Amino acid sequence: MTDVPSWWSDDDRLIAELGHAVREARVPESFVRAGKGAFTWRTVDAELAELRLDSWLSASEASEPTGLRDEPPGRRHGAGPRTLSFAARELSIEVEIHADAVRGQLVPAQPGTLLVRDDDGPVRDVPVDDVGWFVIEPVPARRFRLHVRTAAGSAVITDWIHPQP
Amino acid sequence: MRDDPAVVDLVLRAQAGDAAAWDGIVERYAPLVWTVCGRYGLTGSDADDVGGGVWLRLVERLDSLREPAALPGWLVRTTQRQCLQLLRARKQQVPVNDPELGEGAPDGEAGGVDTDILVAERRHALRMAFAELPVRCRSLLAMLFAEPPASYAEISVALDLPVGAVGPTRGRCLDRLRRSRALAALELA
Repeated sequence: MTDVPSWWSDDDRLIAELGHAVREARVPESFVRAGKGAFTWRTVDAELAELRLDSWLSASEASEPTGLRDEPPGRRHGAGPRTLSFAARELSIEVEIHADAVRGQLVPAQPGTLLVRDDDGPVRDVPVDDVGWFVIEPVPARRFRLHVRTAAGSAVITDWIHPQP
Repeated sequence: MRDDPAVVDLVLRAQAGDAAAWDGIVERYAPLVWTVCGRYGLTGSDADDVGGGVWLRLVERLDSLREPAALPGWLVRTTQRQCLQLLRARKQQVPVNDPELGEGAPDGEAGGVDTDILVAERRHALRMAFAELPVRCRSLLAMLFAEPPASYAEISVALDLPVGAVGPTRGRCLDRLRRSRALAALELA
């Protein structure tokens, strides 16, 4: 603690340092709230939601095309956003990747929270509204997966999503 | 701060699933994470994004945290990494050369970590010590460290104190501050 005397012994410097200390603690409420909210992701075991549809992939590439082939294949070059669908036993996650954001919905519609994860771990959490909609803005730059927890208490994590082809 | 018993207690309780203890950890270290964000020029929603990511990572890492004393260092380094990542992502999206991106941010290497932690612990101790002062001392010191600081004449009016007594009162309040347990513990560390 070699730097103690400088701020410690001089009254003016001690007052200045005290001012720094008090002002520094005035961290915005939103910043602290986000940190406290992170604890809800503790000890969540999630069921894997598998990819059932990716409008960028041909029917043969999708892992399980049955029943989901209403969409015309070859959407990669067509209009509209890329759409993906993930399914777990009791919950599906429909995802659209737009230029500005990832938009999606839980089916059946229900509220919850969603955690975006990349290779380094969790990145950020976003709310899922009462009708199951969520928005992730901007689109993650790297591959990511969605970890969903519904208000009813079930937890599901998707396969990896590569935002670029 | 070597294994500050209060921090050890918070970490142990949070590991056991105590949400209030987790809140305590966040409150204690949010200023540290916020300060690091500020050095990278990140405020507002950018800082919220970085901070959010840091805390989410800590939640995952909580069980493997054997040395609570290592927590501040881990927080600083993780925050630095997250700030750099966000700035790099920005750079990719905005191809225009933004001088702020290149020069505003420190290197992100471990150089400033120890200083950050030292300053953060000192300021935490100062806040604790300040909170223990009698209300009149807190009012007087708060007027002195305000920006801009109040004059002795203004303090005299506000605290109903003769002008000539402001200086001696200030001295007594600072002495009490120096004698507080929080600051004494810091000196011993």
